[in-house]
Amino acid sequence: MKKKSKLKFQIISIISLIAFFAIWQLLTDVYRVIPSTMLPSPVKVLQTIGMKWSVKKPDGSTLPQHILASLQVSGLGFCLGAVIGVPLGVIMAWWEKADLSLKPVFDFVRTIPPIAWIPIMIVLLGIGVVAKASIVFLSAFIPCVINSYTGIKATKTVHIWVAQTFGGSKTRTLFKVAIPTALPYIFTGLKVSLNSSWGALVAAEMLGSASGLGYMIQMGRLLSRADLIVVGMIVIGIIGTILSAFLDSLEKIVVKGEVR
Amino acid sequence: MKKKAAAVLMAAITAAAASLGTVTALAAEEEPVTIRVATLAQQLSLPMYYISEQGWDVENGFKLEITTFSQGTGINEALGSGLVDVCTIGAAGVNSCCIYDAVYLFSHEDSAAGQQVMVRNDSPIAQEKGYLEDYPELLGSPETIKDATILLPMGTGSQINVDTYLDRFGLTEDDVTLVNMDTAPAYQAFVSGEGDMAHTCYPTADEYDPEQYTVAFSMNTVGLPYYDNIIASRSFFEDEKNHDALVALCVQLLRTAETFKDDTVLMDTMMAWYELNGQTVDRDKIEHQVLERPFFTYEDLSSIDATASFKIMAEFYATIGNITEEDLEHVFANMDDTIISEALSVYAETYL
Repeated sequence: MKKKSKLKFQIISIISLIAFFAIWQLLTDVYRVIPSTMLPSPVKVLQTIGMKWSVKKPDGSTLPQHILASLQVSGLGFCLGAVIGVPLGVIMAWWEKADLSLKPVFDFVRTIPPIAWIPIMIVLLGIGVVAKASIVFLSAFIPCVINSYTGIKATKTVHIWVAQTFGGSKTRTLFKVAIPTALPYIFTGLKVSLNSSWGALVAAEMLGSASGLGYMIQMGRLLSRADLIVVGMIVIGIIGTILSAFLDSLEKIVVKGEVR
Repeated sequence: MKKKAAAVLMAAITAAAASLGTVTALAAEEEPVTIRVATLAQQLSLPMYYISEQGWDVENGFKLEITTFSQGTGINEALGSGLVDVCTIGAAGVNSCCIYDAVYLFSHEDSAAGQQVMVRNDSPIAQEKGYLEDYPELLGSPETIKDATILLPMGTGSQINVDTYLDRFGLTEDDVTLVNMDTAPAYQAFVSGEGDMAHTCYPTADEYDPEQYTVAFSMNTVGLPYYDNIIASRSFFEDEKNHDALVALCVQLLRTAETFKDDTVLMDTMMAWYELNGQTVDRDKIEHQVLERPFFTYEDLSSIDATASFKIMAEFYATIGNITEEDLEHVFANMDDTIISEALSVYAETYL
């Protein structure tokens, strides 16, 4: 029965996708309600994807080169954001002194949009991968901190008392009680952070690039090539979906109990 | 009695409608054609501002409605959305004609000055001068240029400048790394030690310290004409009732170019244009920048091929794959000289 309903869900999803592309095609190539200069048809987008797979023109890199460059930047930024952000959120939530000393700085930094850091990044870190990854990091780091902080704070006091009654030290209580409780929050933070990191990519690649999906979108705009812009958007969407699905699977493995 | 009253009422209504119709018709006759003009907060758009300020638009049967954009890309998007009738634009004008089917009317300003690429004085590129006999001012040699990283705003006239320079040495884009950056961040990155060369233009060009940086090449030294252009949207151009207004606008642009031969008028207008756009500039500092980029007068347009730059840009875009060969034909087909030819005749009759 469950298998049947899953199949039904998959069929509905496929039909909705086909309907979406069919309406898009009708509005663009068939009835020309929307000019191709504003929105290229799905067929044109597919042709551009095929062409960009091996051709560098007009933006200087092939699509795989753009994807690799962006994965490098967003991957590095996201990993740094997660590696630094999650422990920082946990520390701030668990140790009051850390909270008192770090939270004001964090609250100040988190309100600054990542794009505003670009001029400082150029001077401090140049225009290489590290500088771009730092812009992505600033965007990815904040949801990680906030969610892990909230997750730890959400630990029920009674659970902590039980751990303490059984002789658990503060650190052991953190690892055995608070962090497992916070895991769903932490994973939500990671997923939000992943989306933010791809969102910050276009801004990061404004910093000075020779390749990357954000760069390709910018070049598409400069050259008035709406097809390049849409290809960039679609590829970012596909990669984002794949990475989110990976995080979902990881969450199911790591988080004990039902994930809501 | 009722019939009489009804007849009087009908007569009154008819008379009122007739008089209203006459008033509307008269108003329509006198109403100047509104031209929605897209400008940039740069020198190329100065004549539009001047025409509007002098009231030369209304007295010649059209009304300029000026909107200022930050980049040619934004102008193209507005053109594509039908929000703009005429624009002042640089290299992005090729995309206007190619993608948005706009019409090139003529080039109105020589803006090659200041479009240059900087190199550090201690760079190996700066040590080589006169490698090419035909272009003695160019710095560098194929060996020193190869593998260099160049910071530039891609997809603009700057890319044409860089590619022409590379071509003079038998190199292509594949031999160097081109990093897309606007001129102001490129300056910031270059002085922070990034890249081997950085493209610049006015006003940023004057920020480079001559003790540390030198001009490797410019549009003038690579022998590349670079003109700014007047472009009209296809729908506005094809509407017969706008024809006279377009001719009148071009006549007034020629009149403005003649007026701008007076340096004081030109500088005063430039300062006012910058101020209007929230830019604080030092008059003495920018004077040479402004004077080095002259507007084309009647005499200029009668003696030079003002379309050369636009054609070169279009051909260049086709060479590097920004547009296809078919698109190139489309751009050439969208270069229409009827308006400017007529404007030159009217100008000669009226002002010479």
